Amino acid sequence: MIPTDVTSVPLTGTVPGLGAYPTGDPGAIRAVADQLRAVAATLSGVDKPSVDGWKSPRAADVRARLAAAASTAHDHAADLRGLAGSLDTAAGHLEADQRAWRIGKRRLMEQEAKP
Amino acid sequence: MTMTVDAQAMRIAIPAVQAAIVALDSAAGELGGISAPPGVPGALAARVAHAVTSASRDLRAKARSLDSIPDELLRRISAAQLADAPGLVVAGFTVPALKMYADSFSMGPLKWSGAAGMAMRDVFFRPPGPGQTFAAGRWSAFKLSMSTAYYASHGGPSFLPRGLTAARYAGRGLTAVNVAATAYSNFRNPYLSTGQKVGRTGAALATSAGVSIMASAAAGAAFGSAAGPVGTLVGFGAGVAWAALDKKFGVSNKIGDAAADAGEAVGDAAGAVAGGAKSVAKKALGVFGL
Repeated sequence: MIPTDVTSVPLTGTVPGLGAYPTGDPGAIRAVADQLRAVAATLSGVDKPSVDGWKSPRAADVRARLAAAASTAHDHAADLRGLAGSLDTAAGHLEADQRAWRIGKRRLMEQEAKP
Repeated sequence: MTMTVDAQAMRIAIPAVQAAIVALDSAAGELGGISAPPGVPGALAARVAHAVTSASRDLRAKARSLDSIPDELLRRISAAQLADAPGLVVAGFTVPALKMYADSFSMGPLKWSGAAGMAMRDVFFRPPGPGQTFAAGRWSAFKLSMSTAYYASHGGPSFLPRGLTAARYAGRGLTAVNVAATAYSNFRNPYLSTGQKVGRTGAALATSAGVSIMASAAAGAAFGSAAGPVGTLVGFGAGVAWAALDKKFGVSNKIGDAAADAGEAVGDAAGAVAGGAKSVAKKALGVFGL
């Protein structure tokens, strides 16, 4: 019996031109992207604490360390946001590939069912 | 080189630095548990793995680089408060002056040769006035005078009038207070290296003691062993002048720093010395209600 809904097609076998079913869970990939965005948000909140009340060569060193830490946090936040975006895109592509495979599989089953 | 510390502004910075450390550590910890799930293209999965690993490592490293800052700020705040403490500033001027004042009552240790010279001057070069004689002859008078001068400086309080004995002990007590206050101040100063802390403390004591002896010697040379009120003024004046000059120009600090530059091998001992000095200084300052 041919499934009426593409989501119900069996995921076994291959589809000509598409090969085997593309494995993976787009939802899990998006969840990882969300995790990365959450960490990025934490890092974006790292401010450079002001120690303006202290002026000396040693204070300059401390100020440089604080600035470097904040800068590193912000740089990695930007990287992680970029990665999260890439993962969202990858999840979208995977979802599209899986849908295309199911459609192809359903058509294949319909052709095989014709007398 | 100018150094300023606004204690209030720095006090506010401490929780902000601590919050930054927590945020960096927390982010690094969360990244440690993240990996690309199945279905992610290989190249992207590799990018995720690399970014997560390097970010986690960098963030932890940056957090560690900030770890010491809250304590450092706290030390600066304490130092600023210490510098602003009027009691300690007053003590810095008055304790050395009081010590010099007390020291000026005694002649300082005379060597045998010095005592002999003073006795010779009194007996042979200052002949008795009209109606005065050396009862047992000049030689006996010389020996008696020399012994008196020598033992007055070395032999303890039995040769000294009661008031001067008290002054000698007061001088010693104030020396201890001054030693402790100098050491405490230097060892609490966060701007000094270990060598400077030790060197400055040693130099301050050495120069202070030197001035005291010089002041006493000058009074003795000018006015004899019974320098009395004039010797007191000379000693007091020299002591106060030295204390003021040293405060203004940091002479003993410069001597101490030169000594520190010459040898930094005192570092290991400095911690123990600092701890002891702090304890003694606290007790000493407590006596003065500071």
